[in-house]
Amino acid sequence: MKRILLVDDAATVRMYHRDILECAGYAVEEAWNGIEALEKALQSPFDLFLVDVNMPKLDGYGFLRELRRLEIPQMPAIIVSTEAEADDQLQAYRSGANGYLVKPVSPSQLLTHVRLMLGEHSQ
Amino acid sequence: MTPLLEQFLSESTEFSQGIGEKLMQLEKAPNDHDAMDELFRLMHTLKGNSGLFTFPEMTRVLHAGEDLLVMVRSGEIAYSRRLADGLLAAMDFVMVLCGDIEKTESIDASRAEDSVHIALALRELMPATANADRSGDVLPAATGQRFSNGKANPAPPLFDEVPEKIRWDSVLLSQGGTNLYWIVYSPEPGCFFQGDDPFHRARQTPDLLWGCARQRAPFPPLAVMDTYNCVLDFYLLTCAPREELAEYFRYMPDQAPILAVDPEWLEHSLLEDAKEVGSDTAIVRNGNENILSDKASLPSPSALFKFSAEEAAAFDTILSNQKKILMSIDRSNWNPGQIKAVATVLTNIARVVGDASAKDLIEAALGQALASGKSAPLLEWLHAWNTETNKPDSIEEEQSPADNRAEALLSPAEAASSRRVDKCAPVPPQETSSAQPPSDDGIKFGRRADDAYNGPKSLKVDQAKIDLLMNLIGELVVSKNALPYLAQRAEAQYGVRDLSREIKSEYAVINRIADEMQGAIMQVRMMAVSFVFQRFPRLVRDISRKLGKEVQLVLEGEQTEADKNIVESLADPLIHIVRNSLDHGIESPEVRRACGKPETGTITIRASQESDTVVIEIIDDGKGIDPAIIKRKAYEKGLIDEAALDRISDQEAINLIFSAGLSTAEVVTDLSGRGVGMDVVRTAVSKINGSVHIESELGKGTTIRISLPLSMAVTQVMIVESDGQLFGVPMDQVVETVRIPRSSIRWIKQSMTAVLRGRVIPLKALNGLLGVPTPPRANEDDELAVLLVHSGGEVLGLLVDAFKATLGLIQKPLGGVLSGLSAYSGSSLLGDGSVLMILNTREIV
Repeated sequence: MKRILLVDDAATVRMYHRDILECAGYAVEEAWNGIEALEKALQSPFDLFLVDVNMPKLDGYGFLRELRRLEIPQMPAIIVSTEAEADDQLQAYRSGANGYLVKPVSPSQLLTHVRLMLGEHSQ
Repeated sequence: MTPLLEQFLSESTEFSQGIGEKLMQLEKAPNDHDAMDELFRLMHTLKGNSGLFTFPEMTRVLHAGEDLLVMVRSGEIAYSRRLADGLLAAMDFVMVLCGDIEKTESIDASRAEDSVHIALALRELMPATANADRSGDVLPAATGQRFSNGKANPAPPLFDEVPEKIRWDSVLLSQGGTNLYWIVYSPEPGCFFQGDDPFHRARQTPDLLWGCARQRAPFPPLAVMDTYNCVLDFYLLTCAPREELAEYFRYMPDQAPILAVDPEWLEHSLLEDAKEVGSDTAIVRNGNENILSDKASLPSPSALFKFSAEEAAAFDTILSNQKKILMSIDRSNWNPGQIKAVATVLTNIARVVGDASAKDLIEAALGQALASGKSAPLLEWLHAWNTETNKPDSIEEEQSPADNRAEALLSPAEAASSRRVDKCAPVPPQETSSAQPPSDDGIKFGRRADDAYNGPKSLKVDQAKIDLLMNLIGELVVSKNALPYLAQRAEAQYGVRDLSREIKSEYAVINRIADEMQGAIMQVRMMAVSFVFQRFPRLVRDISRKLGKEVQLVLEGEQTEADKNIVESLADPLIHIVRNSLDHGIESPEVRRACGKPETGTITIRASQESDTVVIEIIDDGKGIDPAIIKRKAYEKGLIDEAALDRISDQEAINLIFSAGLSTAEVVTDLSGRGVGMDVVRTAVSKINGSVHIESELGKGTTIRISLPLSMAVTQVMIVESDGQLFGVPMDQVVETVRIPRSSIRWIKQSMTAVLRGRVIPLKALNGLLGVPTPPRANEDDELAVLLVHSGGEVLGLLVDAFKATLGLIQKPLGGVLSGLSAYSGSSLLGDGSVLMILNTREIV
């Protein structure tokens, strides 16, 4: 089962994403800020990261920058942000994100991106 | 209510409180950047959460709040009290909305207007220019796409307002041969009267890619605004054929000029973009050509495979994003992990379209890239791969990319219903039904809120259940007390000594377990006093501003715990005291300055635990209480007579503040000062078996100490005997027990007194107080048992016949006709089944 790490400081958002992903058969772990996410990423491997931007202690960009410096297999990361501006997207990609989604993300949009990023398309 | 909504509500409450706290904190230290960041994060997250549901009233207010904070954070506007007031009012409103949602799962229709007012009030705090920028309200897009809040530079084609993703899509479309059109739709002001719905019309524009609405001129004030006047212009980007658009807008051709989009606009804006992205110009140029050329000449690889429209769009987006990422990496920000991650994504993406062999090639390219410190090898692979997978003969084109695109921008639900059935990968059943609104109930939330919570594991339990448990344990404690009697009887009455001993040892075990159980359940009921304290920063702020005083609030020992009931009943007395301190204690800044004190007064609320009691101190550095004024007032109000006026000490005078009907304030304000303050405090505190003590020094300040029992559940009681009957006296009222020889009791008129360690102590016979005619009994040495008890700040001796044991008991209030007896605070069962009446010493003396 593919493992996804949800990084978001809002429990409501985590719950929302978690339900969508678990219904689709993914194993989901949660972290509520960048620091905790880094700790989890070091403890066990994840196949994908879904990352919020604005978080206490360490934000999503900071988390990605650190993540990409770690000596671990580098897996896709998607920033899920409330901002749709080009500048924000640019910053996300520079920090090490591979994708960018704008909140609120519909279930099908989320699953489509997650599946493709994970290389899953059963045809 | 769905668990998601519950989670939302509880998190909203938490965040709103957090925002309030941070605002308070910032008020003290406006330059605290950490607090500012945290405040912004809370507001931002709360707004994000509300976006998951359709609560426009809430989102509107939070959005305005967030915009405001953005400007404060960037230093465009200074943090001010007015700003804090606005935000606090907004948070109060959000809490009201949460209340609505909790009751009915929706927001009361009447709130819409308030929400507009509050949002407007917040926006008024922003500089005028910012308002003009931002007030262009956002169209709720049918596509689920977010419409951009534009910037203020309307360059001729307005293209920098189009979100980047849409621009990329547009480039692909236009290079695939589709013409794009830009429509500026300016409905007539009176169009509503012609049965037209411009908003609907704009949204329903055929093949709409993107759109936004802007007001033509700044909005007039709400009061004079004519809501039947259309003042909006709509800017629309579409890929529909011109004829269709002309047909669509046929009744208003002059209001909706259709402009063909010049491909150069698009390319231009993209090039600008790419320049921003990377400084390694060679790669940038190279990469740009890649994107533009291969997309232009060939359909995207997604056309090859049986993708749904949404998947196709996502596929292209992911691919072009990886390309952008590769282009943006150069030596200055070289991070191998980032390249590796892109390689992983590319490998995965290639696998999606069945190209397993790509893995090795990507790995080789990655190796080169890492070795050379440049992303070029991967870019080259990507370019080659794009070209290769798009060989014209291998295309079984069912859908042109243009179709893909247009459909992707329809609502996902529509797209799903039209194409997904035969084309798409199997999707989980919930997906099709809930593609559009995230708050759809179609999603089955199998999790509870606490599963998703990563903090300390906690459990919310109805208090009634804990109370029931508490009562049961109370009964257990009482029934267990019957065992020693049973043991006694076994020995004395039936003469089985061994059995008696066994009962006793068994009793010891049960006793220990019952004690631990009682302790454990008491722990459950324990609550930090911060529950009460947290409301004070706001209260002090609001009141001190109303009074024009500068006050700093210091909270200490917030983590001190006490029984829930006690903590809760502490709230009202504390508010009374703090209000009094603010109103009468702390002087105005001018007066303080004149007295040589700092202009800002300080109120400290401190909680601490002292053995079995919780002590709350409220300390102010205000003007203190003048005993002379109290005496005069008390005399004027008839509380004391002339003789007492000279006799009573200053401390006694200050204690008079607890008498009913004494208000010392010169002017009665709406905050406090109706003379119902302090006596109410004392009544409330003594109801929970606590006591209040006041110390005051004129000109220096006042300290009020409230002592409370840790727990109300178990009362330690001293049992005394009087005329052959047993009575209980709560231990917290007992000072000490002494035996006084009858000879040292003196009579002063009708009252008895004795001198104990140099103090004159009034004595009363318990029998007499209870209306029993029998005189107190003395022991063999002709000494009388005297129980010294607290009584209204004084110590009083009660003459009893004998002292018995002290016991921990669960006190039950008196019921029925007995409930009117104020001499008793309650009753309890003794181990032998008899009832023990517990005296309320304050009432009987």
